[in-house]
Amino acid sequence: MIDLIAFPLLSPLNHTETSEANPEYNCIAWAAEDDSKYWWPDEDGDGYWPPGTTRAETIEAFVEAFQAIGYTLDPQGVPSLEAGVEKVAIFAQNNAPTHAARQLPTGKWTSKMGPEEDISHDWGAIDGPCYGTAVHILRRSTR
Amino acid sequence: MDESPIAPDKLRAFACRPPVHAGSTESAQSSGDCLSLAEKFRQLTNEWKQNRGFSSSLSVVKNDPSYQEIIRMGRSVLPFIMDELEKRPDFWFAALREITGENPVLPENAGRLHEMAAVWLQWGRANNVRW
Repeated sequence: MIDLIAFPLLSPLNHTETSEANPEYNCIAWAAEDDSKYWWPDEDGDGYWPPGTTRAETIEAFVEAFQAIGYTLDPQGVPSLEAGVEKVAIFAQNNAPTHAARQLPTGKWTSKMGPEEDISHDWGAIDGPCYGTAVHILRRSTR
Repeated sequence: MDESPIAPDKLRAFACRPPVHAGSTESAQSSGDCLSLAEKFRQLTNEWKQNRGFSSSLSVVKNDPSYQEIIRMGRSVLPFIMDELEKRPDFWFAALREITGENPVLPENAGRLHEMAAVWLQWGRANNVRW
């Protein structure tokens, strides 16, 4: 059950739960289409992070991680659906990365809510005190 | 004095009997401490999971005050952590490293929760932690 205090813009009209809670993967992994690992660049090395990228809890390091799997920064940062393009969004709060979401072929977005459920949701629906807002959109050609 | 390990679910049956871990030099300070160990661990674990909420950050996980309090409880909580790790795998690894001073997880298994948990459970059995 999603906490509406943490996500005040979420409503039954703008999101749907699409999985059970599962701590084996997290939002970054889910955005990268990997549900087998937990991605996080913690200094202790408990989380997976793409080899050869900067292991730091910075927005730049998160951009680098998605660049490592074929995404490039979208200079316009447009969240709308584009034919032949896959998009991910990086969220940050107080300049610290918090979350990543991936656009679905329908134009909706999918997010893994930390160790909890996956949801599909409208753009902007998860903005708030928990994840902050999207600070970058990255794109790659549909695979 | 019998020093054989005690499973966590047996703890409350003893008036004052700390869970014993091979190599542990810790002991409960009073019967009250001993009796409350299981409850305290459970409460702190619930607080930790509640505090983490929907965050993915492993720094948030590790730096949570309840998680840190569990670490400060020392080797006496190892059976409880092992029990949790077996039933509900989660990121107990920073706590286990802090408490034991060891890290049996290979870097190539980073982020693979079940593999990391399995390695620590194997370590627990090899080091006579009973849960």
